Amino acid sequence: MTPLSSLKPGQRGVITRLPADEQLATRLREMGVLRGTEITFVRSAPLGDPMEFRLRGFDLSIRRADAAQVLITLDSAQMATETMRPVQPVPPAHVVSTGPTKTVLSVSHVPTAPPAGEPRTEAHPKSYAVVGNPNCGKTTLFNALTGLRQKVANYPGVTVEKKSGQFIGQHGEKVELLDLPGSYSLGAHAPDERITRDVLLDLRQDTPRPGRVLCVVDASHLERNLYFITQVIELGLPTIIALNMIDVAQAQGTPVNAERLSEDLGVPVIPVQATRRETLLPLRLALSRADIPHSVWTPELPSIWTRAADKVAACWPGQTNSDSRGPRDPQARMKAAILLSSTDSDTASVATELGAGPALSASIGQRTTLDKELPEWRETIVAERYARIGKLCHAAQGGMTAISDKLTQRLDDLLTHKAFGWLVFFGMMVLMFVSIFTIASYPMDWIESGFGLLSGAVQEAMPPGDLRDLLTDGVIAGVGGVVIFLPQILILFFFIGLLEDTGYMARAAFLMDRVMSKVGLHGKSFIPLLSSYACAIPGIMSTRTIENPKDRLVTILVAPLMSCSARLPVYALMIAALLPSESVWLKGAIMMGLYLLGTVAALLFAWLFKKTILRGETPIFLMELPPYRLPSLRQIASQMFQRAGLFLKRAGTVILAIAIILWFLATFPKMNPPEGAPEPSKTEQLQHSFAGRIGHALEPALEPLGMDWKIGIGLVAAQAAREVFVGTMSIVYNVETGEDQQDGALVQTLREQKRSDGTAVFTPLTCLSILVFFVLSMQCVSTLAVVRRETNSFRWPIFQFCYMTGTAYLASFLIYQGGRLLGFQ
Amino acid sequence: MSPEFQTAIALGLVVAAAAFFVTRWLRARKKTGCGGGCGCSSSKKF
Repeated sequence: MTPLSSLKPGQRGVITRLPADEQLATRLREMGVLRGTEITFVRSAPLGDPMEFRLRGFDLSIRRADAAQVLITLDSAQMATETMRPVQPVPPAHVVSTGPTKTVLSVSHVPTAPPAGEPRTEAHPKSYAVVGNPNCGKTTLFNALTGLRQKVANYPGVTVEKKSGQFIGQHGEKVELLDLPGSYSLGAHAPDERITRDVLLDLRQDTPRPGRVLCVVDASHLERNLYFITQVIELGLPTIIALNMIDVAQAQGTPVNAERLSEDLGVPVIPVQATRRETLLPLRLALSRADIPHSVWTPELPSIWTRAADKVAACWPGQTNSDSRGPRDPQARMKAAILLSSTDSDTASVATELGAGPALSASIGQRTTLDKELPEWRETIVAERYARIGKLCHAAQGGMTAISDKLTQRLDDLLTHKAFGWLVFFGMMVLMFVSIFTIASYPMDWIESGFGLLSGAVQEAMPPGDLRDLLTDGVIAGVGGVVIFLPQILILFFFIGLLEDTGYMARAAFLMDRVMSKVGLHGKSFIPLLSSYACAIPGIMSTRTIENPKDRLVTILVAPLMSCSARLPVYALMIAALLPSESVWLKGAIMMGLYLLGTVAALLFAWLFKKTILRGETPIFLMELPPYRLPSLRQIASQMFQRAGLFLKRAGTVILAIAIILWFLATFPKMNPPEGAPEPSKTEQLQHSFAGRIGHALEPALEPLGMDWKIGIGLVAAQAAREVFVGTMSIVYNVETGEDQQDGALVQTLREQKRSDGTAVFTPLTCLSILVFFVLSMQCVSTLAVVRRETNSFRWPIFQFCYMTGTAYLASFLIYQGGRLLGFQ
Repeated sequence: MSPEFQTAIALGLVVAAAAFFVTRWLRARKKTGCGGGCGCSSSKKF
């Protein structure tokens, strides 16, 4: 026997022993890593860690240290050439009706209809919970079925997204869909998987379980997908399976006989391609059916296990039938099974989450019995399920073996290469940031001209007065100053959508895992951090995929250091003020440097927190690497438009309101000079205003950073939303100079500003100081609100605000004062 | 439109803007959620 980590690329082995660490072993088993499983080492990441393996038709990345705990025997037999048998034609898409199931049942289980009188929480007569593995195309299918008829909210208590939608069925009735987070198993590990588990087991008061289930299965990874789906089917709910990606399955030589699969599982199986709407009609018709069968399929687990689960289920609160030999509510049994299967360290928390009550002690007792009578029962249970699934797949796929996706292999050879992998990664980042400056400049000029014309039109149409000033100097200057950056934000989201949709994001996590593990995190933390380049809020929300609470908290604390899209207008403005006539390459390089600064700061603080206040072990890293796919430009465009809509909505509401209030603060109270005295200058009026007084109060603290009281007003306003800094500068300097937007960009205005001693305000050092301050400081009330909810405390958002703002202040101070000492201006 | 009338409308808009934030804050206290505006679309899980 030899460690799995000792395999050479292309070498194959057979698993003989799993790690002694029960938590790691459980996770590996659920991903199909079992004794007797064939596993092939594909490659390792450029830094040597993690390692990518191929098993059961999919690619899985595992950290080297974890792989070293798995023992294998080398498979010395020559790999048989994958014979090209005639490909069976895929049955045309149609609604599959089912007859009586032929499932073989385990001894103690009797097929039942749903027990009479059993209260079923059904949110709506035709409502479906949409479930499936991650990357199975579930959300694509959900979007295709519901179109714009969607609603996004949050599950109370956690900031996990709750996505519901509806479509009109064949009889004109509304069919409701609830898109649940992707999950590999009902033995949920991450917060979002727990949501799926809790909704399916009807444990959430705020979200009644839909009466039916739509399981989305990736036909090209049938075996792995069926692990979770068979668990769902065991719940005995009315279920339909959407067999997605049938084109991919066909291309790889493993088309699925949907009829046969339906017959074996006892539920309708509808082949679909979620990206092609014309294939969805049969599914829509099936979802509209009045009557959907309840499957009674079971995995034929050892009777000793089934008896143990029944005994625990009998002790469950609310179970009236205490005779463990009689019919058992399948959901109570599944809860019992989940509790029994939990690791020793997790049992108490799982029992609380599932509401086990007295069943907890029963499960501990039964576990002891199982340890004696069925050694290695944990492995056996999973292995038996996979064995049953293997038979299902063999029957449905005619014994075909998948031809490995050569395109994905070739692309991965390049994109995860030791040298080229990094080149491509950084090259893509450079391309993204340079595009932001080049392509976006044209529409930005148009938007700027448009707002300028609007301002001029208002000035001509209205007589002088406060309302005209509010509209031109407040609303148009403030909102226009932010909206002008919409093209740059759209380009940013285009690239992020492209990386996500093609499957490259997972490779980025694979590449970065070694770096992340050095700071005590793993590659999965990189994805929320990468998402935070768009906005920290969805980035923080996506930390729900991180299982370890400490790792999740560390990721939440450092995510806002990743430069979000709201900072982009500030960066663009300050870089333009710093280098007005330099090449776009240099500007792009500086922009990239700022993003790099934020990233490095995030990693440094993550390391610090993991070493000090949030000390913990480096987490388990197990991540599927999905095959590369052609991006759906429609999906990317849809996301871009959605983002644009949200950005404009924010500009039209929050930023508009801030602009109005800022104008008020910068205008009132008005100076009333005595009769005969000269009218005060704009600067004197601004200094006398509320905003001026706030700015002056802050000035002693900001002077060491090279900032004056007007910049101080901008920093205060930016607390509400970072991009408001730009609008504030527009308002403050418009108010002061009386120039309107048409006479030149704000950049020009800023460069012309002088201090009382005649020196320029926006020197290169000051611009750098402002830039660094914005990179590192915590300036978003919305993000702090999300952190408060996600951590369920005030302590962590306060801590986050203090450490980030303190670091920003110190860094700006060092930049400015250090620069001056060195003779720079 | 006289300057006094313009001032009255302008101040009315300021009050409306302030009321907008107060309402938003009160609503946020009752509901959980991101507060909106940033697009709470989750990242894909890999």
